[in-house]
Amino acid sequence: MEKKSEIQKCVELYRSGSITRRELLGSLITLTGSYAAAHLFLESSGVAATLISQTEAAAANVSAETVQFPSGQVQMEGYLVKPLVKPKNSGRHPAILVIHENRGLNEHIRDVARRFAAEGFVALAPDLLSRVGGTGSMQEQRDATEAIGLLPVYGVLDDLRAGFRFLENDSAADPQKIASVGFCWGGWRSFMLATVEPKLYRAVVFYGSSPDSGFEKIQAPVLAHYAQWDNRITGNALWTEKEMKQAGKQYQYHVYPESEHAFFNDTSPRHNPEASQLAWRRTLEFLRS
Amino acid sequence: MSKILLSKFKALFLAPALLLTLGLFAAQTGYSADASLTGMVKSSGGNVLDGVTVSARSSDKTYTTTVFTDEAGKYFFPPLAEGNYRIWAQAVGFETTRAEQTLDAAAGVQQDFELKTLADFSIQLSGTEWMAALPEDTPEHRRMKAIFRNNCSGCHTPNLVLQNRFDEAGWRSIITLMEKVGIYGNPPRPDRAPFPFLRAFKDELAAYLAEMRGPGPSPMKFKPFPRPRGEAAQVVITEYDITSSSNTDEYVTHDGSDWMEGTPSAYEARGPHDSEVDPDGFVWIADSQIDRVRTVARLDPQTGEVKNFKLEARHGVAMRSHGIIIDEDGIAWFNANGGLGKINTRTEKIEYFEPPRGMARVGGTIDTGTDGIIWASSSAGALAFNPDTNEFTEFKSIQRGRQGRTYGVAVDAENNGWWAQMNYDTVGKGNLRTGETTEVVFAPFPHSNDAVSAADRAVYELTGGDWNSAPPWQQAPRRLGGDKTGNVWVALWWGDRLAKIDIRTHKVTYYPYPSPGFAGVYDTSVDRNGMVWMNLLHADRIARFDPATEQWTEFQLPSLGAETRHISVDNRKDPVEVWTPYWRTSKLTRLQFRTKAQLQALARR
Repeated sequence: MEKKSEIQKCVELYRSGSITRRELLGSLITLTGSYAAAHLFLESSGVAATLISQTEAAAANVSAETVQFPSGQVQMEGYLVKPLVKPKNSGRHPAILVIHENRGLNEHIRDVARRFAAEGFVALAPDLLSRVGGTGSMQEQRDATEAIGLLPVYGVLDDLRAGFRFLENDSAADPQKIASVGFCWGGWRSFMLATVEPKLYRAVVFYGSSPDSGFEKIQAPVLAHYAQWDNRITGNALWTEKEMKQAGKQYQYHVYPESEHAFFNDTSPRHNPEASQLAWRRTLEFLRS
Repeated sequence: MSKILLSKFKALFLAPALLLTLGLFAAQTGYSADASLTGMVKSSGGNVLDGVTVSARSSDKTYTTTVFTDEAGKYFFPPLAEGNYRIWAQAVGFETTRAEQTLDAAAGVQQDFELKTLADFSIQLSGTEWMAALPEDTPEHRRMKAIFRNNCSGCHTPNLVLQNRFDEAGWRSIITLMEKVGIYGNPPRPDRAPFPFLRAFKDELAAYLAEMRGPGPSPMKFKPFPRPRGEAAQVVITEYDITSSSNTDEYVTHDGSDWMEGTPSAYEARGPHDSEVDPDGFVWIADSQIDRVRTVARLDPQTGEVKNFKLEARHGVAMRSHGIIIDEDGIAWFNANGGLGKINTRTEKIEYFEPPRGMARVGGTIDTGTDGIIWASSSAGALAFNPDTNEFTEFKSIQRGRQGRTYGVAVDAENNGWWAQMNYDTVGKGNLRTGETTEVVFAPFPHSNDAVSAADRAVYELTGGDWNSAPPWQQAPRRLGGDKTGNVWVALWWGDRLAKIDIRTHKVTYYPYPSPGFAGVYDTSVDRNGMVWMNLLHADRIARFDPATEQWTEFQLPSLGAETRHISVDNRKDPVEVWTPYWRTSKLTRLQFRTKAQLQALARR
């Protein structure tokens, strides 16, 4: 009970503007015991969607809402963020599918989506646990991770394509410029989406594995960010480069020194600020190229 | 502190029990063990065969006893319990020959064997002998052998692979499967990243394996290693079946006990990873597989009975262990799901301790020193646990990143904790009194320059090593043990050698495995006499290294493909007894050492 009231106190401090989002997250990680548990609390309590999202979206000068869209028989949920500033020329913003890690759609991924919107992109972060009730319905973090491990591998790609269609039909998004950015578990899915979605504009992979085959079907240039200390993921970069080259496709990768898997996640103990900033800059340049 | 160390070098200070008579062997079966079994083994051509493995198993027991023939071709079992026995004799190059006998105390049984020669004996060979048979005549053969060695023999022995024949497409299919199977045999998933070296070298490896083990003629030349002689032929080996962790009524059937069946698959059952003997003679086992019945188990060597102990995880599954040690007070310490388990071996009371938040979790290896502190490996380095205060102290490797892959841990004569970082070729040393961490770095493995092209080097340097996949220059300190004089003995896995580190000067001395092939030096344990014992995973052998003479003495195990990953010494016995678990075939095995005089006494009976 004591812990619960401590958590409530932190939330109120954030609500009143006395502490920042990062300070709130830091306190919650301490109180709940882990990064993952803190995020799950924010999702399941509704604090992320109703408080943080709105506060941070206003601060970033973006609009944010929870949206629903169909993927076959599945009703998907997603976090949709748009810039409040109109684009100069075409009247439409480039768009991004933000694909989460193996912890579900959490506050970190919402934050990444907002950051993209603040940079002028329409960003949709689908909750790929929608098939089993959504990230917020999980009782414990390990339930979310276990549920993600049991998702149908190719069904999730269908869900991402449904998200792609959703963005195509959004009047604020430029249908010719819809890219994907995936992290960890979502990294492979970002790369795979390029093999099944010929209209994908760009694909960005943050420390995710590569497809085994299907490179010849890829139309989008692919950018990958890898950590130095991430043996199995990073070690396949040369093979991937060779396969992409043989298929006549564009692939560039960067390995970030003295970094670990998940280095971009600023709410994780493995966060590497220098590597994150560089990867972010490269990502924006790539998406705007 | 009067605590006496009982694990790696724990019992070095004990006054050994005097169990020098033949009764030693009789007493440990726990039955009216006075039935005699002897015999003579010859080839079908009439030649006396020495070093032949002769095994006997009673129909109502769950363990097998094995001895070897002497230079006159004679074998002498220790007194056995009465009963109906299957008896079989094996030697590489001969067919397994079987007999059945009823043993009773009233009359000794003599069972002679005549072994028929076997033209193609390759399936009977150990992984080390298979490795020795891969040619090194050309630069490309040397390069591909190095790639095969460092990528196809970490999760299993090389003979499991090479006993098969496939064409190139077949081998490519096997590698496509293997590149995504996890190190515990986890089934592949399309989104799992493949082992980078297997993926990078797949086509070349498939072509190489098709040349070595394809439908056509092969350049491989098989030469069996010499059979056990002298001291190595005097041992008595008892292999205890450990019930399957998935079904407590089941035992492994394809278990390597008949060499003509080849190297067994691990999928029937596996799990006994580490073991230690408690002060009452029971043997405690850490089980590394996911199952619903046990975290650790206890074997009664008198009866073969196994009792399971479970720490609950989720969904009815047991917490998973890997390493275990037993302290002077009869407390067994083991890792379980990132925490430290404690079980009183007499009262069977179990406790569980977790490191505080922000500290790395408890890894898979455990040791203790004369100060009673429990050391455990962790992904970041090592943890020291004080059993009086239940507090953890963390030591971090200087070279960062989880890719260092901490494996073994050991405590030295001055109670420093040591941990091995396989992929950085370093061992860390933690001093609990000062909090200081220092590191010792091994020289690169002296690999052949032929083994690395410029393109290979790019892949190796980008990727680095992993548990069971490594560049050819990696030594890979795997497990280690301390002695009482001030050395730590390190098993260098890919380097296939033993290394001695002086704990005060940090000077490193290397002792390469002296025979051809790839023995698989995996773990070390130093006995009370200062002898360094090692399990040679690929060789299905136990080795004893004498630091004074620098001689290796090898003891052959009776089963093929046992895949031993731990060794421990029972220093309470005299002579010491050696225990090693068979991870692949779910057995626990004891080696007992007989003198010539003891054998002569048996011969006179």
